[in-house]
Amino acid sequence: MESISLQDKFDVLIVGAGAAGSLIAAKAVQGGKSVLILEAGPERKLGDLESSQISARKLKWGGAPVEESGNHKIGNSFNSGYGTGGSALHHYAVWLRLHENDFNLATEQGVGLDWPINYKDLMPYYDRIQAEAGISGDAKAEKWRPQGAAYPMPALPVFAQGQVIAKGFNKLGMAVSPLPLAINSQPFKGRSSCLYDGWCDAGCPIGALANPLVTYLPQAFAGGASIRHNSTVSRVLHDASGRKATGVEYFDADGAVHQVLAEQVVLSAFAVQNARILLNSKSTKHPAGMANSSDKVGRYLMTHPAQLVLGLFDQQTDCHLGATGGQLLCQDDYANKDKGEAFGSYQWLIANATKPNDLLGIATGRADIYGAALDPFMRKAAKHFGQMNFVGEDIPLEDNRITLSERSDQFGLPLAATHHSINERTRALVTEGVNKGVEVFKAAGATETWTGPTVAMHLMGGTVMGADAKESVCDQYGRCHDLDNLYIAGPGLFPSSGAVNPTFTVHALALRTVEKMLAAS
Amino acid sequence: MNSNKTSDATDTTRRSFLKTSAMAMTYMVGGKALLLTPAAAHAAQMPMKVLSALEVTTLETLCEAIVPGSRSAGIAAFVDYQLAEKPHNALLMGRYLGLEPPFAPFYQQGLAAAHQAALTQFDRPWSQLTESQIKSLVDQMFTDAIANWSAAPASFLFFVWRADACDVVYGTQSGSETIGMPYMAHIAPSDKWLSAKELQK
Ligand SMILES: Cc1cc2nc3c(=O)[nH]c(=O)nc-3n(C[C@H](O)[C@H](O)[C@H](O)COP(=O)(O)OP(=O)(O)OC[C@H]3O[C@@H](n4cnc5c(N)ncnc54)[C@H](O)[C@@H]3O)c2cc1C
Ligand code: SF4
Repeated sequence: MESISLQDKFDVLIVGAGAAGSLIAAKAVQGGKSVLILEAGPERKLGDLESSQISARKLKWGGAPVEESGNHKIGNSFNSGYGTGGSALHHYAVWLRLHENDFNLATEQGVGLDWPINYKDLMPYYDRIQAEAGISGDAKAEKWRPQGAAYPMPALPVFAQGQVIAKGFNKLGMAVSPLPLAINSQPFKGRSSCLYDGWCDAGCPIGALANPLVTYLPQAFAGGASIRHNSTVSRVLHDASGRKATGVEYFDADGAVHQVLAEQVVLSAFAVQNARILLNSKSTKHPAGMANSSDKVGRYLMTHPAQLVLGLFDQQTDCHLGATGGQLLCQDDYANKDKGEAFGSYQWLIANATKPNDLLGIATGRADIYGAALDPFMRKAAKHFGQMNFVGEDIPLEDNRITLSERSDQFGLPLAATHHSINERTRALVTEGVNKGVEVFKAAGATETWTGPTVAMHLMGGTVMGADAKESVCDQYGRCHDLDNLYIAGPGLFPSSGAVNPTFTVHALALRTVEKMLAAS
Repeated sequence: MNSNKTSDATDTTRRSFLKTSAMAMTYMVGGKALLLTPAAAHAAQMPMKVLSALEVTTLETLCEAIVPGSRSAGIAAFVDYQLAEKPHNALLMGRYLGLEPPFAPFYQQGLAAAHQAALTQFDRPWSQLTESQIKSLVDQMFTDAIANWSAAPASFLFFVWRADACDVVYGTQSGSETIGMPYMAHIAPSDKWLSAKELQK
């Protein structure tokens, strides 16, 4: 294989052009740094984001296959993106804060891990991010919301589907609030407001949704950052001492190997690939893989167990309207984690905009309806369908992990092998939650109710942060304990999952990281 | 090699109608590239790239029984085209369901098992079965009741093929609107596909 040494040198080298990498790139150039982003996937532009659930599949992970095992596989291909903007390009923009009780699981609950920081450390960063990227919501109506500045935009409207399902929650004495979304309810910083057409899963091409193509990447490029697409990073390089990362090695689309040097290196290639790169960066100084003296790289892989509750209603629901992420939120079962047999917080994302086909579409959940019965069902459901998503907490378990497979990819690099199982208490949490959800649907007047399978939603862990270098990979700023200038960004840092969608927290942590990097250099 | 990209947020107007389509498939005919929807490719009987004639009739017959309308909507052309694509460009829902590339063996082994089941039970291929025989086999696939099935579980294949068939029947602008769901595209599929008639000219 041809090896080219480019002799390139940058102040900051960022691996992955997704949510975390984009933010760090923007802030680093604004801090006067030269920045290069290496992105494994292809270039994507807003104009590529066709409104179709079928073409949306192009945006999914297209790199080396990821092996999956366990009783609750991580669903990497659905849960990861590829190319400019990463997964965040077509994420649904449900932006929620972790709660105060999410940070000290081990100390307070005797389960899992503690974060090395608390909510109050993160709060100012949440506030700054929401002011920069824009969130629509109603902070007062979210009675469960931890402290923080009110949202910069009013909530998005609630359509018929949301109104119909809300009645069920109300009848059972449960509260709902508008769902906070990083989607514009009004024009925001030159970006359009939402049209409520439910195409978020295919990527929002009008800039209403805070994806990296309209938030931090334009800022990064305006400040002079460069990006190389189709560039798959294979390993991190280090100096003779082993304490300093000197750059990375990557493969271009033709399989040629390149090296780029940098003063500071950031791995923001999402939970699975970050761990894979570290494990693949073995050397005499780092025999178990880079930053892995603790043997914690790859461990505590997490994903939110999620399950849909679906149904038909007499009322017209207009389920095609709204955002894919949903219209309403209920976190009534968040505060109390120790539920006896069951463990964890959970929340409901209510009234997701729905299309006829695809994994989350109307047809898919009812494989039992086929032949002559299918078309009448589809016609009825197009008008009367409703759904909501149970999102539960995952307990961080050491044996849920990413390792290197025996099998290799096209570049000869070992594949990532992932193992993820949920334990009895998490299984009980899902059962308890979903049973409650079915009750809600019945109370709302559903004429027919069914549930989906328990699936994996969001990927977290694998490079967790912690106060103790023997028990974690990174410190509270995402800097690897074992190296002075190698940083990790993204949800891989989370020592516990909470039960809220992770990307608002990813941004808040990345902002802390880049400010630390700028201060350190 | 480096590129400084700026977002094209301003280039994409709200609800602009670009001439693109999720389902557009490019065929070379007489040295010219033709963009066709699966339905148009089916009507024009465009040659398959991966599936054999027997595989095509098996897939079409069983999918038509699961999702009526999927034959003329071009289920075989759609699946065949996607199987010939590079895996990361393939638009099959199987990508979400843990299928590892290459995807063709999964489909072809499944079709071979379905064909074998038709021969074993009725002594003829799917294309020659009566409606009730087809229904019986499809019901047995759904419940994994076919003996000696030598492929991925029949119920899983049923699920995948049903999803593919729903894509071509309900996942298009017209399919969605036919069941009364407004499509409301930002970047809409074009309706300017060459029709079968134009192709034959
Ligand atoms: C369908 C979907 C819906 C979602 N909805 C929500 C939501 O509503 N709310 C929420 O909070 N979260 C949501 N998420 C999750 C969210 O997208 C992620 O948490 C977030 O994008 C993670 O940010 P990241 O920067 O770590 O990774 P990403 O955004 O995935 O970016 C990582 C990038 O690294 C690249 N990369 C990988 N390996 C390499 C390598 N070896 N070399 C170079 N580059 C590499 C990838 O191609 C990718 O572009 C959703 C995700 C999906 C898929
Ligand atoms: S619903 Fe709103 S955010 Fe989602 S794609 Fe449409 S305009 Fe964009």
